Amino acid sequence: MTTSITRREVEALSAYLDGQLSEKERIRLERDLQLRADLRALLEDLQRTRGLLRSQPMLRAPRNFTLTPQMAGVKTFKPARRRLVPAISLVSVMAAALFMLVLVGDLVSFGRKPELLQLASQSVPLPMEVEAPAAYEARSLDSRVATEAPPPAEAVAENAFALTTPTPTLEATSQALSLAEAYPPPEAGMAKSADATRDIVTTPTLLTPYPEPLPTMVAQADELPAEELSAEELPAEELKEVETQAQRPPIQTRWNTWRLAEVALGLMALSFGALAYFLARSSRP
Amino acid sequence: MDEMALIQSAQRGDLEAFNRLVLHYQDVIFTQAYRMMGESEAAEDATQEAFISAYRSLRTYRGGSFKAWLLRIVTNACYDELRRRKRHPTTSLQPLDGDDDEIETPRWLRDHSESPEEQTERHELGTAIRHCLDDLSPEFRAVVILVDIQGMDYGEASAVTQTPIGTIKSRLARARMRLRDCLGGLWELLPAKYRLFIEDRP
Repeated sequence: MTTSITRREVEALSAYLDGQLSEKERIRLERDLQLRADLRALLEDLQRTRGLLRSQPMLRAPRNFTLTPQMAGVKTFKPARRRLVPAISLVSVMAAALFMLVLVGDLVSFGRKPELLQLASQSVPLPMEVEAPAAYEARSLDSRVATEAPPPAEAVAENAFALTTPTPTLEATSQALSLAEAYPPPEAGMAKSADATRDIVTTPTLLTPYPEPLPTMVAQADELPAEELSAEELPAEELKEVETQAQRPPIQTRWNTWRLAEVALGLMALSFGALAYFLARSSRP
Repeated sequence: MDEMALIQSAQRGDLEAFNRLVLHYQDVIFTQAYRMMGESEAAEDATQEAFISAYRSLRTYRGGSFKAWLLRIVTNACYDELRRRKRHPTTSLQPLDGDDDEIETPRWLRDHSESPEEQTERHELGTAIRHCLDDLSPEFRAVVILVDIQGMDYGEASAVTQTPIGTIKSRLARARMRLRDCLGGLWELLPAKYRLFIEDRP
Protein backbone atom coordinates (compact mmCIF):
# COMPACT_ATOMS: atom_id res chain seq x y z
CA MET A 1 0.00 0.00 0.00
CA THR A 2 2.83 2.38 0.81
CA THR A 3 5.01 1.27 -2.04
CA SER A 4 3.79 4.13 -4.18
CA ILE A 5 4.45 6.66 -1.43
CA THR A 6 7.75 8.43 -1.83
CA ARG A 7 10.27 9.10 0.92
CA ARG A 8 9.59 12.81 0.57
CA GLU A 9 5.87 12.23 1.14
CA VAL A 10 6.62 10.15 4.29
CA GLU A 11 8.74 13.01 5.66
CA ALA A 12 5.94 15.44 4.83
CA LEU A 13 3.38 13.28 6.64
CA SER A 14 5.65 12.96 9.70
CA ALA A 15 6.28 16.69 9.78
CA TYR A 16 2.59 17.38 9.23
CA LEU A 17 1.84 15.45 12.45
CA ASP A 18 4.26 17.67 14.31
CA GLY A 19 2.99 20.88 12.71
CA GLN A 20 6.40 21.50 11.16
CA LEU A 21 5.30 22.13 7.57
CA SER A 22 5.14 25.53 6.01
CA GLU A 23 1.74 26.86 5.02
CA LYS A 24 2.30 26.06 1.36
CA GLU A 25 3.48 22.49 2.10
CA ARG A 26 0.57 21.89 4.45
CA ILE A 27 -2.04 23.01 1.85
CA ARG A 28 -0.49 20.79 -0.82
CA LEU A 29 -0.35 17.73 1.53
CA GLU A 30 -3.96 18.17 2.67
CA ARG A 31 -5.06 18.30 -0.97
CA ASP A 32 -3.13 15.05 -1.66
CA LEU A 33 -4.62 13.41 1.42
CA GLN A 34 -8.14 14.11 0.09
CA LEU A 35 -7.22 12.49 -3.19
CA ARG A 36 -5.15 9.45 -2.01
CA ALA A 37 -6.30 6.72 0.40
CA ASP A 38 -2.80 5.24 0.81
CA LEU A 39 -1.56 8.55 2.18
CA ARG A 40 -4.46 8.73 4.61
CA ALA A 41 -3.78 5.18 5.81
CA LEU A 42 -0.11 5.90 6.34
CA LEU A 43 -0.91 9.09 8.18
CA GLU A 44 -3.13 7.10 10.53
CA ASP A 45 -0.36 4.53 11.15
CA LEU A 46 2.20 7.20 11.86
CA GLN A 47 -0.23 8.96 14.16
CA ARG A 48 -0.76 5.77 16.19
CA THR A 49 2.93 5.07 16.35
CA ARG A 50 3.62 8.56 17.50
CA GLY A 51 0.82 8.27 20.05
CA LEU A 52 2.26 5.05 21.43
CA LEU A 53 5.66 6.63 21.85
CA ARG A 54 4.16 9.69 23.50
CA SER A 55 2.22 7.49 25.88
CA GLN A 56 5.48 6.38 27.43
CA PRO A 57 5.85 8.04 30.82
CA MET A 58 8.70 10.29 31.81
CA LEU A 59 10.75 8.13 34.12
CA ARG A 60 11.70 9.09 37.62
CA ALA A 61 15.39 8.88 38.40
CA PRO A 62 15.97 5.89 40.70
CA ARG A 63 18.30 7.97 42.85
CA ASN A 64 19.73 11.44 43.08
CA PHE A 65 22.63 12.17 40.79
CA THR A 66 23.97 15.14 42.74
CA LEU A 67 27.72 15.42 42.74
CA THR A 68 30.00 15.15 45.74
CA PRO A 69 33.09 17.38 45.84
CA GLN A 70 35.18 14.31 45.13
CA MET A 71 33.15 13.43 42.02
CA ALA A 72 33.32 17.00 40.81
CA GLY A 73 37.07 17.09 41.39
CA VAL A 74 36.75 20.06 43.69
CA LYS A 75 39.90 20.79 45.66
CA THR A 76 39.07 20.79 49.36
CA PHE A 77 42.55 21.05 50.87
CA LYS A 78 43.54 23.98 52.99
CA PRO A 79 45.70 26.34 50.92
CA ALA A 80 47.61 27.64 53.95
CA ARG A 81 48.79 24.18 54.90
CA ARG A 82 49.60 23.45 51.30
CA ARG A 83 51.73 26.56 51.03
CA LEU A 84 53.82 25.48 54.03
CA VAL A 85 55.01 22.34 52.34
CA PRO A 86 57.75 23.87 50.14
CA ALA A 87 59.17 25.90 53.05
CA ILE A 88 59.27 22.88 55.35
CA SER A 89 60.79 20.78 52.61
CA LEU A 90 63.49 23.40 52.09
CA VAL A 91 64.34 23.40 55.80
CA SER A 92 64.53 19.62 55.74
CA VAL A 93 66.84 19.62 52.72
CA MET A 94 69.09 22.26 54.23
CA ALA A 95 69.31 20.38 57.50
CA ALA A 96 70.15 17.20 55.61
CA ALA A 97 72.88 19.01 53.64
CA LEU A 98 74.38 20.47 56.82
CA PHE A 99 74.21 17.08 58.46
CA MET A 100 76.15 15.55 55.60
CA LEU A 101 78.70 18.35 55.77
CA VAL A 102 79.25 17.92 59.49
CA LEU A 103 79.36 14.15 59.15
CA VAL A 104 81.98 14.30 56.42
CA GLY A 105 84.05 16.77 58.40
CA ASP A 106 83.86 14.59 61.44
CA LEU A 107 84.80 11.48 59.49
CA VAL A 108 87.77 13.22 57.88
CA SER A 109 89.11 14.34 61.22
CA PHE A 110 88.34 10.97 62.77
CA GLY A 111 90.33 9.24 60.02
CA ARG A 112 93.56 10.57 61.52
CA LYS A 113 92.94 9.07 64.90
CA PRO A 114 94.46 5.60 64.34
CA GLU A 115 97.94 6.95 63.54
CA LEU A 116 97.73 9.33 66.42
CA LEU A 117 96.69 6.55 68.73
CA GLN A 118 99.63 4.50 67.52
CA LEU A 119 101.91 7.44 68.06
CA ALA A 120 100.61 7.93 71.52
CA SER A 121 101.03 4.29 72.49
CA GLN A 122 104.74 4.37 71.58
CA SER A 123 105.60 6.70 74.45
CA VAL A 124 103.50 6.57 77.54
CA PRO A 125 103.19 9.06 79.17
CA LEU A 126 102.17 10.97 76.07
CA PRO A 127 104.33 13.72 74.70
CA MET A 128 103.31 16.85 76.41
CA GLU A 129 104.05 19.15 73.54
CA VAL A 130 101.06 18.05 71.55
CA GLU A 131 98.63 18.28 74.38
CA ALA A 132 96.52 21.23 75.23
CA PRO A 133 98.21 23.75 77.50
CA ALA A 134 96.26 22.69 80.53
CA ALA A 135 96.92 19.01 79.96
CA TYR A 136 100.60 19.76 79.41
CA GLU A 137 100.90 21.59 82.66
CA ALA A 138 99.02 18.95 84.50
CA ARG A 139 101.26 16.26 83.18
CA SER A 140 104.45 18.18 83.91
CA LEU A 141 103.18 18.77 87.38
CA ASP A 142 102.42 15.09 87.78
CA SER A 143 105.89 14.20 86.72
CA ARG A 144 107.34 16.74 89.08
CA VAL A 145 105.39 15.56 92.04
CA ALA A 146 106.05 11.94 91.08
CA THR A 147 103.71 10.69 93.70
CA GLU A 148 100.85 9.57 91.56
CA ALA A 149 100.46 6.42 89.56
CA PRO A 150 101.15 6.36 85.82
CA PRO A 151 98.19 7.47 83.73
CA PRO A 152 95.54 4.86 83.09
CA ALA A 153 94.67 3.56 79.63
CA GLU A 154 91.59 5.81 79.39
CA ALA A 155 93.72 8.83 80.00
CA VAL A 156 96.04 7.75 77.23
CA ALA A 157 93.18 7.40 74.85
CA GLU A 158 91.80 10.70 75.93
CA ASN A 159 95.14 12.32 75.29
CA ALA A 160 95.23 10.68 71.90
CA PHE A 161 91.99 12.43 71.03
CA ALA A 162 93.54 15.58 72.26
CA LEU A 163 96.07 15.25 69.50
CA THR A 164 93.43 16.00 66.98
CA THR A 165 92.58 19.32 68.51
CA PRO A 166 94.25 22.38 67.22
CA THR A 167 94.73 24.18 70.53
CA PRO A 168 98.48 24.00 70.99
CA THR A 169 100.60 25.91 68.59
CA LEU A 170 103.93 25.07 67.17
CA GLU A 171 105.47 28.29 68.39
CA ALA A 172 104.25 27.97 71.91
CA THR A 173 105.32 24.39 72.25
CA SER A 174 108.73 25.04 70.76
CA GLN A 175 109.27 27.87 73.13
CA ALA A 176 108.34 25.70 76.03
CA LEU A 177 110.74 23.03 74.96
CA SER A 178 113.62 25.40 74.52
CA LEU A 179 112.97 26.91 77.88
CA ALA A 180 112.84 23.52 79.52
CA GLU A 181 116.14 22.60 77.99
CA ALA A 182 117.66 25.93 78.95
CA TYR A 183 117.12 25.17 82.62
CA PRO A 184 119.15 22.08 83.39
CA PRO A 185 118.78 19.84 86.50
CA PRO A 186 120.60 21.88 89.15
CA GLU A 187 118.06 22.33 91.92
CA ALA A 188 118.65 26.05 92.17
CA GLY A 189 117.31 26.87 88.75
CA MET A 190 114.30 24.64 89.02
CA ALA A 191 111.79 27.13 90.29
CA LYS A 192 112.72 29.65 87.71
CA SER A 193 112.66 27.10 85.00
CA ALA A 194 109.22 25.93 86.04
CA ASP A 195 107.88 29.45 86.23
CA ALA A 196 109.23 30.33 82.86
CA THR A 197 107.84 27.21 81.28
CA ARG A 198 104.46 27.69 82.91
CA ASP A 199 104.29 31.29 81.91
CA ILE A 200 104.86 30.49 78.31
CA VAL A 201 102.78 27.36 78.03
CA THR A 202 99.79 28.65 79.95
CA THR A 203 99.70 31.87 78.05
CA PRO A 204 96.58 31.81 75.88
CA THR A 205 97.67 31.32 72.34
CA LEU A 206 95.66 32.50 69.40
CA LEU A 207 98.09 31.39 66.80
CA THR A 208 97.37 29.21 63.85
CA PRO A 209 96.73 25.62 64.96
CA TYR A 210 98.52 22.70 63.42
CA PRO A 211 96.84 19.35 62.99
CA GLU A 212 99.57 16.88 63.89
CA PRO A 213 102.50 16.85 66.22
CA LEU A 214 105.91 16.90 64.64
CA PRO A 215 108.07 13.81 65.27
CA THR A 216 111.00 15.99 66.30
CA MET A 217 108.86 17.55 68.94
CA VAL A 218 107.96 14.14 70.29
CA ALA A 219 111.57 13.16 70.41
CA GLN A 220 112.45 16.34 72.22
CA ALA A 221 109.74 15.74 74.70
CA ASP A 222 111.13 12.33 75.52
CA GLU A 223 114.39 13.92 76.39
CA LEU A 224 112.87 16.26 78.90
CA PRO A 225 113.99 15.60 82.45
CA ALA A 226 111.23 13.77 84.22
CA GLU A 227 111.78 15.31 87.61
CA GLU A 228 112.68 18.88 87.16
CA LEU A 229 110.70 20.37 89.97
CA SER A 230 109.45 19.31 93.28
CA ALA A 231 105.92 20.03 94.40
CA GLU A 232 107.11 21.76 97.52
CA GLU A 233 108.72 24.49 95.52
CA LEU A 234 105.60 25.50 93.64
CA PRO A 235 103.44 28.09 95.28
CA ALA A 236 100.19 26.65 96.59
CA GLU A 237 97.98 29.01 94.57
CA GLU A 238 99.74 28.22 91.38
CA LEU A 239 99.56 24.55 92.10
CA LYS A 240 95.80 24.81 92.59
CA GLU A 241 95.43 26.74 89.39
CA VAL A 242 97.35 24.16 87.49
CA GLU A 243 95.26 21.37 88.94
CA THR A 244 92.04 23.16 87.98
CA GLN A 245 93.22 23.57 84.46
CA ALA A 246 94.22 19.96 84.32
CA GLN A 247 90.73 18.85 85.30
CA ARG A 248 89.12 20.68 82.40
CA PRO A 249 88.23 18.40 79.48
CA PRO A 250 88.15 20.78 76.53
CA ILE A 251 88.84 18.20 73.91
CA GLN A 252 86.14 15.83 75.09
CA THR A 253 83.60 18.68 75.14
CA ARG A 254 84.43 19.69 71.61
CA TRP A 255 84.15 16.12 70.44
CA ASN A 256 80.68 15.95 72.01
CA THR A 257 79.68 19.18 70.32
CA TRP A 258 80.37 17.64 66.93
CA ARG A 259 78.27 14.62 67.78
CA LEU A 260 75.49 16.76 69.18
CA ALA A 261 75.43 18.84 66.01
CA GLU A 262 75.22 15.71 63.90
CA VAL A 263 72.38 14.27 65.94
CA ALA A 264 70.48 17.57 66.00
CA LEU A 265 70.81 18.14 62.27
CA GLY A 266 69.88 14.57 61.49
CA LEU A 267 66.80 14.74 63.67
CA MET A 268 65.86 18.09 62.18
CA ALA A 269 66.15 16.80 58.63
CA LEU A 270 64.11 13.70 59.42
CA SER A 271 61.37 15.46 61.39
CA PHE A 272 60.92 18.29 58.90
CA GLY A 273 60.95 15.84 56.01
CA ALA A 274 58.29 13.73 57.69
CA LEU A 275 56.23 16.84 58.44
CA ALA A 276 56.42 18.00 54.82
CA TYR A 277 55.43 14.55 53.59
CA PHE A 278 52.50 14.40 55.99
CA LEU A 279 51.26 17.87 55.03
CA ALA A 280 51.58 17.18 51.31
CA ARG A 281 49.77 13.89 51.66
CA SER A 282 46.97 15.19 53.87
CA SER A 283 46.35 18.24 51.70
CA ARG A 284 46.19 16.25 48.50
CA PRO A 285 42.80 16.82 46.78
CA MET B 1 14.21 28.55 40.53
CA ASP B 2 16.24 31.17 38.72
CA GLU B 3 18.00 28.83 36.34
CA MET B 4 20.39 31.40 34.91
CA ALA B 5 21.52 32.52 38.37
CA LEU B 6 22.15 28.93 39.37
CA ILE B 7 24.10 28.30 36.19
CA GLN B 8 26.25 31.38 36.77
CA SER B 9 26.89 30.36 40.38
CA ALA B 10 27.80 26.86 39.23
CA GLN B 11 30.15 28.32 36.64
CA ARG B 12 31.93 30.11 39.48
CA GLY B 13 32.41 26.73 41.20
CA ASP B 14 29.31 26.63 43.38
CA LEU B 15 28.66 22.91 43.53
CA GLU B 16 25.49 23.36 45.56
CA ALA B 17 23.96 25.50 42.83
CA PHE B 18 24.86 22.90 40.24
CA ASN B 19 23.32 20.16 42.36
CA ARG B 20 20.05 22.09 42.42
CA LEU B 21 20.12 22.02 38.63
CA VAL B 22 20.88 18.31 38.77
CA LEU B 23 17.84 17.68 40.95
CA HIS B 24 15.69 19.66 38.54
CA TYR B 25 16.83 17.86 35.38
CA GLN B 26 17.80 14.40 36.57
CA ASP B 27 14.46 12.80 35.54
CA VAL B 28 14.70 14.16 32.01
CA ILE B 29 18.33 13.12 31.66
CA PHE B 30 17.74 9.69 33.15
CA THR B 31 14.75 9.11 30.82
CA GLN B 32 16.88 9.96 27.80
CA ALA B 33 19.65 7.64 29.02
CA TYR B 34 17.23 4.84 29.81
CA ARG B 35 15.55 5.01 26.40
CA MET B 36 18.88 5.16 24.66
CA MET B 37 20.55 2.35 26.61
CA GLY B 38 17.53 0.15 27.22
CA GLU B 39 18.55 -0.83 30.74
CA SER B 40 18.57 0.79 34.11
CA GLU B 41 22.14 0.31 35.32
CA ALA B 42 23.70 1.54 32.12
CA ALA B 43 21.31 4.48 32.18
CA GLU B 44 22.36 5.37 35.72
CA ASP B 45 26.01 5.24 34.75
CA ALA B 46 25.43 7.39 31.70
CA THR B 47 23.39 9.91 33.71
CA GLN B 48 26.01 10.23 36.42
CA GLU B 49 28.78 10.51 33.88
CA ALA B 50 26.82 13.16 32.02
CA PHE B 51 26.36 15.33 35.11
CA ILE B 52 30.02 15.03 36.05
CA SER B 53 31.01 15.92 32.52
CA ALA B 54 28.54 18.82 32.52
CA TYR B 55 29.99 20.26 35.72
CA ARG B 56 33.52 20.03 34.42
CA SER B 57 32.66 21.64 31.10
CA LEU B 58 30.24 24.18 32.51
CA ARG B 59 32.41 27.06 31.34
CA THR B 60 31.82 26.04 27.75
CA TYR B 61 28.08 26.60 28.16
CA ARG B 62 27.28 29.77 26.23
CA GLY B 63 23.59 30.24 26.94
CA GLY B 64 20.56 28.77 25.20
CA SER B 65 18.52 25.89 26.52
CA PHE B 66 20.32 24.35 29.46
CA LYS B 67 18.09 21.28 29.14
CA ALA B 68 19.16 20.82 25.52
CA TRP B 69 22.80 21.26 26.56
CA LEU B 70 22.46 18.56 29.21
CA LEU B 71 20.59 16.27 26.82
CA ARG B 72 23.37 16.63 24.30
CA ILE B 73 25.93 15.58 26.89
CA VAL B 74 23.98 12.53 28.00
CA THR B 75 23.17 11.53 24.43
CA ASN B 76 26.84 11.69 23.51
CA ALA B 77 27.68 9.64 26.61
CA CYS B 78 25.19 7.02 25.43
CA TYR B 79 26.64 7.05 21.92
CA ASP B 80 30.10 6.41 23.38
CA GLU B 81 28.89 3.55 25.54
CA LEU B 82 26.91 1.95 22.71
CA ARG B 83 29.91 2.19 20.41
CA ARG B 84 32.09 0.63 23.10
CA ARG B 85 29.61 -2.20 23.51
CA LYS B 86 29.54 -2.79 19.80
CA ARG B 87 33.33 -3.16 19.82
CA HIS B 88 33.34 -5.34 22.97
CA PRO B 89 30.01 -7.20 23.18
CA THR B 90 29.19 -8.67 26.58
CA THR B 91 26.55 -11.07 27.88
CA SER B 92 24.01 -9.55 30.24
CA LEU B 93 23.90 -10.99 33.73
CA GLN B 94 20.26 -9.99 34.23
CA PRO B 95 17.81 -12.87 34.80
CA LEU B 96 15.66 -13.92 31.87
CA ASP B 97 11.96 -14.64 31.92
CA GLY B 98 10.27 -17.57 30.18
CA ASP B 99 10.36 -15.88 26.76
CA ASP B 100 14.11 -15.27 27.04
CA ASP B 101 13.33 -11.58 27.46
CA GLU B 102 15.26 -9.67 30.06
CA ILE B 103 13.06 -8.74 32.97
CA GLU B 104 12.77 -4.98 32.90
CA THR B 105 10.13 -3.04 34.82
CA PRO B 106 12.07 -1.41 37.60
CA ARG B 107 9.97 -0.75 40.66
CA TRP B 108 9.96 3.00 40.18
CA LEU B 109 8.29 2.53 36.78
CA ARG B 110 5.24 0.91 38.27
CA ASP B 111 2.08 2.90 38.75
CA HIS B 112 0.49 1.60 41.94
CA SER B 113 -2.92 2.99 40.95
CA GLU B 114 -3.07 0.50 38.06
CA SER B 115 -4.69 -2.89 38.31
CA PRO B 116 -2.43 -5.93 37.86
CA GLU B 117 -3.87 -6.40 34.33
CA GLU B 118 -3.13 -2.81 33.38
CA GLN B 119 0.36 -3.12 34.81
CA THR B 120 0.92 -6.23 32.74
CA GLU B 121 -0.35 -4.53 29.56
CA ARG B 122 1.74 -1.48 30.16
CA HIS B 123 4.73 -3.65 30.86
CA GLU B 124 4.23 -5.48 27.59
CA LEU B 125 3.82 -2.25 25.66
CA GLY B 126 6.93 -0.82 27.28
CA THR B 127 8.91 -3.95 26.46
CA ALA B 128 7.72 -3.88 22.85
CA ILE B 129 8.63 -0.24 22.39
CA ARG B 130 12.00 -0.79 24.00
CA HIS B 131 12.77 -3.68 21.69
CA CYS B 132 11.68 -1.69 18.66
CA LEU B 133 13.77 1.30 19.74
CA ASP B 134 16.76 -0.99 20.25
CA ASP B 135 16.46 -2.06 16.63
CA LEU B 136 17.01 1.51 15.46
CA SER B 137 20.44 2.93 14.97
CA PRO B 138 21.53 5.21 17.86
CA GLU B 139 21.18 8.34 15.71
CA PHE B 140 17.57 7.51 14.71
CA ARG B 141 16.76 6.41 18.24
CA ALA B 142 18.05 9.64 19.74
CA VAL B 143 15.85 11.73 17.46
CA VAL B 144 12.67 9.78 18.05
CA ILE B 145 13.23 9.82 21.82
CA LEU B 146 13.88 13.57 21.83
CA VAL B 147 10.82 14.43 19.77
CA ASP B 148 8.25 11.76 20.64
CA ILE B 149 9.18 10.92 24.24
CA GLN B 150 10.83 14.09 25.52
CA GLY B 151 8.37 16.24 23.53
CA MET B 152 10.98 18.53 21.95
CA ASP B 153 10.42 20.42 18.72
CA TYR B 154 12.69 20.01 15.71
CA GLY B 155 14.80 23.02 16.58
CA GLU B 156 15.58 21.74 20.08
CA ALA B 157 16.31 18.26 18.76
CA SER B 158 18.60 19.83 16.21
CA ALA B 159 20.43 21.68 18.99
CA VAL B 160 20.82 18.53 21.03
CA THR B 161 22.08 16.34 18.21
CA GLN B 162 23.93 19.18 16.50
CA THR B 163 22.45 18.23 13.15
CA PRO B 164 20.42 20.34 10.70
CA ILE B 165 16.65 20.46 11.05
CA GLY B 166 16.30 18.78 7.66
CA THR B 167 18.24 15.81 9.00
CA ILE B 168 16.03 15.70 12.09
CA LYS B 169 12.94 15.72 9.89
CA SER B 170 14.26 12.92 7.72
CA ARG B 171 15.53 10.74 10.57
CA LEU B 172 12.31 11.13 12.49
CA ALA B 173 10.12 10.12 9.55
CA ARG B 174 12.22 7.05 8.82
CA ALA B 175 12.36 6.09 12.49
CA ARG B 176 8.58 6.33 12.79
CA MET B 177 8.13 4.17 9.73
CA ARG B 178 10.39 1.48 11.17
CA LEU B 179 8.63 1.64 14.52
CA ARG B 180 5.28 1.33 12.78
CA ASP B 181 6.51 -1.83 11.05
CA CYS B 182 8.01 -3.15 14.28
CA LEU B 183 4.99 -2.51 16.48
CA GLY B 184 2.60 -4.01 13.88
CA GLY B 185 -0.90 -4.45 15.11
CA LEU B 186 0.00 -3.89 18.72
CA TRP B 187 -2.38 -0.98 19.22
CA GLU B 188 -5.46 -3.23 18.78
CA LEU B 189 -4.27 -4.90 21.97
CA LEU B 190 -3.85 -1.67 23.90
CA PRO B 191 -6.10 -0.78 26.84
CA ALA B 192 -8.86 1.74 26.17
CA LYS B 193 -7.01 4.63 27.85
CA TYR B 194 -4.08 4.30 25.43
CA ARG B 195 -6.42 4.16 22.43
CA LEU B 196 -8.18 7.29 23.59
CA PHE B 197 -4.82 8.93 24.23
CA ILE B 198 -3.78 8.19 20.66
CA GLU B 199 -7.02 9.43 19.12
CA ASP B 200 -6.99 12.65 21.16
CA ARG B 201 -3.59 13.73 19.92
CA PRO B 202 -2.85 14.84 16.38
